[in-house]
Amino acid sequence: MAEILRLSLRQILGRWRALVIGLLAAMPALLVILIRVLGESELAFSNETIDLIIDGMVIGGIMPIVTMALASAAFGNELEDRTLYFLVLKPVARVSIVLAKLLATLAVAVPLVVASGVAAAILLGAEVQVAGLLALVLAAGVTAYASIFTLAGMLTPRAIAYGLVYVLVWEGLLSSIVSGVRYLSVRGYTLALLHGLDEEGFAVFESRVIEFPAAIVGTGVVIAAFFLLTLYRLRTMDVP
Amino acid sequence: MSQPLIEAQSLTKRYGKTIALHEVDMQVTNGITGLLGPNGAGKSTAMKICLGLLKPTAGEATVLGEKPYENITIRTRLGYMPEHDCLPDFVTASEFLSHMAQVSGIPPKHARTRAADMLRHVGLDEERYRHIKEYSTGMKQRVKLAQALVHDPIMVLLDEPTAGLDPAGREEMLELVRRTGRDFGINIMLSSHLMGDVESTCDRIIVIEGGAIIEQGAVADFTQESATYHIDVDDRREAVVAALAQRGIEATVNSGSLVVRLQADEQLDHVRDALAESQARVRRLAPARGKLADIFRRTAT
Amino acid sequence: MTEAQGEIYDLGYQHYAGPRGGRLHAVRSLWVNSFRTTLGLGRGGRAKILPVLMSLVIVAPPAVYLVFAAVLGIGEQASHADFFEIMLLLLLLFSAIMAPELLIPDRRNGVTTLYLVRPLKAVEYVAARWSAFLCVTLAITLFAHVLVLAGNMLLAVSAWDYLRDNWRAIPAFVLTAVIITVFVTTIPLAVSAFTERRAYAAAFVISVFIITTPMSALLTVEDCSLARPQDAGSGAVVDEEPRAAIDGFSQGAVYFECRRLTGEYAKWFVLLDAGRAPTHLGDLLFDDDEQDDYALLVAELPRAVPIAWYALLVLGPGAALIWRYRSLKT
Repeated sequence: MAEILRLSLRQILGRWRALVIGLLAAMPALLVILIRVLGESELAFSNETIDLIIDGMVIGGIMPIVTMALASAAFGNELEDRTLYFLVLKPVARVSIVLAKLLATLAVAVPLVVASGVAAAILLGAEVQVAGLLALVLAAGVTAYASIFTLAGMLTPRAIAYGLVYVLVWEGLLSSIVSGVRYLSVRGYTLALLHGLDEEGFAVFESRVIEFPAAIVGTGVVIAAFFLLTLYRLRTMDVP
Repeated sequence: MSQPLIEAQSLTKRYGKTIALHEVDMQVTNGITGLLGPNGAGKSTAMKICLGLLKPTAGEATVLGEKPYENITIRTRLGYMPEHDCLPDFVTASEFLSHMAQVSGIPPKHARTRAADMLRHVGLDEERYRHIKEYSTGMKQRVKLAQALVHDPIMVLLDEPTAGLDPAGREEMLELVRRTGRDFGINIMLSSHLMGDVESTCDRIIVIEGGAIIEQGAVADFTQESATYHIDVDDRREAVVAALAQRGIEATVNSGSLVVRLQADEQLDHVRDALAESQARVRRLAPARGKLADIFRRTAT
Repeated sequence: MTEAQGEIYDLGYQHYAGPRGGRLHAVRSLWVNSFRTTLGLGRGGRAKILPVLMSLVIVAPPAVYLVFAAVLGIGEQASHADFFEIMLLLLLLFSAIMAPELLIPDRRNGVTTLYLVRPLKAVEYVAARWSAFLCVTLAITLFAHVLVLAGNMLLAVSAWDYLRDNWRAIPAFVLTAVIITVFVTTIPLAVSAFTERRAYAAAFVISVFIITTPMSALLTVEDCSLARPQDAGSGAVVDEEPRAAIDGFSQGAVYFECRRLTGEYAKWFVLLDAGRAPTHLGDLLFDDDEQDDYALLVAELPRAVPIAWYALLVLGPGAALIWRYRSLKT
């Protein structure tokens, strides 16, 4: 399994892709630094910055897109290059293959997304405790997206395209109009988790969160269900 | 013979400091012409200039009476089959050929008929409604040829048409090329690094190496028995050389064989006499293979 | 065996003696092909899912509006400009997903070579692909706005009176649709010219647009801790109306005006929200006096700046696209 993990990590980190993704993740922190240099006063970790940076940039953009790009490639590239065959032939349980793929994605995506959000938060002067909460919740969000898009990458070569539609239309547009959509949205869970863990600090999300327990259950169910679906799919599919 | 189909005059192409073609003069006339040379000899560059994809650094090329890089309309009457993969995945061969015919100027209704006919001619009648992705290498190669012919060009340029095929596939492809040239009456210029391909399909040969043309002429001229003979003897080689020298025939030693170049047929009698006189045990006395083999051996090494 | 197969093929080759078109015919054929590719026609069923889904998503808001207006007779008359704001992101999503289909498979499979040895120049290849793509996108956009217009007419007391009084909205939304679709088609096509994986082209375009909006907002954020009396400094006129979007507060008789965090730079930073470049030009066409931050800040710049910025955002990628194809090694 360690071998599969290592190979998968190498697949994820293509040259250009790594650079572009890294730059994308660094944007929030760079932005805060830019404002510190040019601005006439300092930004604080306030409602406005939480809304724009933590939700607008990190949770609404960087987290889903980075995770989507990495997770859908986990099996997607194997299918495209017709190498899944070799992987499945190894004397390794299918569950280990899926787990290794998911862990490889998380090993890159979690540090990247967490660093992206937490660095900006700390630069804005967030307390260590709040930064810790943020890191935890972002990690949960990344895991949920990774679980979904690992399956999507296995089902269709157009996983990222469908993923973008889901993130922009469903989670972005529709959930702001129809509040029920938030119960089926990773972004909705993430905001609710943050809000639930620190109601004062993340008060800005007040108007658009679902109940805290629902968010916990939702996140857990998404992670587990999509993991099992991926496993089921790998067990039953005709490996080309 | 009328005006040549392709004519190049001191055609030169440089990429930075690399010289791909150096003052090439050539003429391609009706029939099947082979462009023979090792990889990197400048075959593809020559073809791309003929198609108008590249502009020569100096000199000029005329194709079907026009300069291809100035008037790309001549491409309605030119076909090209590239060496590398060039087929889409999720399109049927029939649809792809019909589209390619249209881009070459054939109206849609005729394009569909031409596509169907062409696929039949290359032997893909039954598979034409399958996605190209499902085709074997040999089938793909035939689609590549078909797309070059679908608009009924006057001349078609085939870049290494047998590349990547197994012996059976190669023979099939060469047969198709011969049929295209002989039965369809489409003029062909094909490039290859394999002498056998060129020898068995072409009427004329242009040998190119290091961006320069070494030889050009009819295949018959190349494969004609030359006046060069190889003599293998078991012993007394020096005596043979001496006896030959006495009769005014110079012999050189090449990889264990004596090689003699004869000016006239009468000299064969002198060779016989020289061998008899030297009392050497003769293993072999044979004319060398064609000039083409010589040239090719030289270019390949 | 080869002989035998040779026999089977031989049903007599026929030369083609019919009409032949030239370069125009070539461009037109490619145009038709591009149009079909954009909508996923002539390919497998699965290729149709995304374009159809995306077209429906784009048309959905106006359709919902129309249904509410027609069936239930409820709703307020909506402005075309508002719909453009909603549609921009959806149109961008559509283009970001479909643009790579037009360029990347051709390059990856080597089909581009076959096009370029036909009576087509590289620029004409790009132009045919782009213009067909633009036409599809424009058609969807215009269709959506015809729905909006229909909704507005239904909600009016008299549909024909509405049309008579508001006919100017029609050229305005047509022109805005052109401005927006040129923008949303050119950028993803340019990105597709530089990457070999369709998914990454789409993800890149979308992430840039998602991320620049909050960045622009943050760079132009107001900070009332910086507030100063309006007449402070060089004796500015006290009774001047405070600008609408700038918050402020009064303390005693003095009005304090909040200021943008990045001060003078703010009006430039706001341009970072690239998605607003085309819709803002549209707003100018509609004489839409809705004053959001973007409009307010851009108004501080010379009038030519937003126009030049739009032109740069279209012509820059356009030039990169053409450059890339002209220098393509075949």
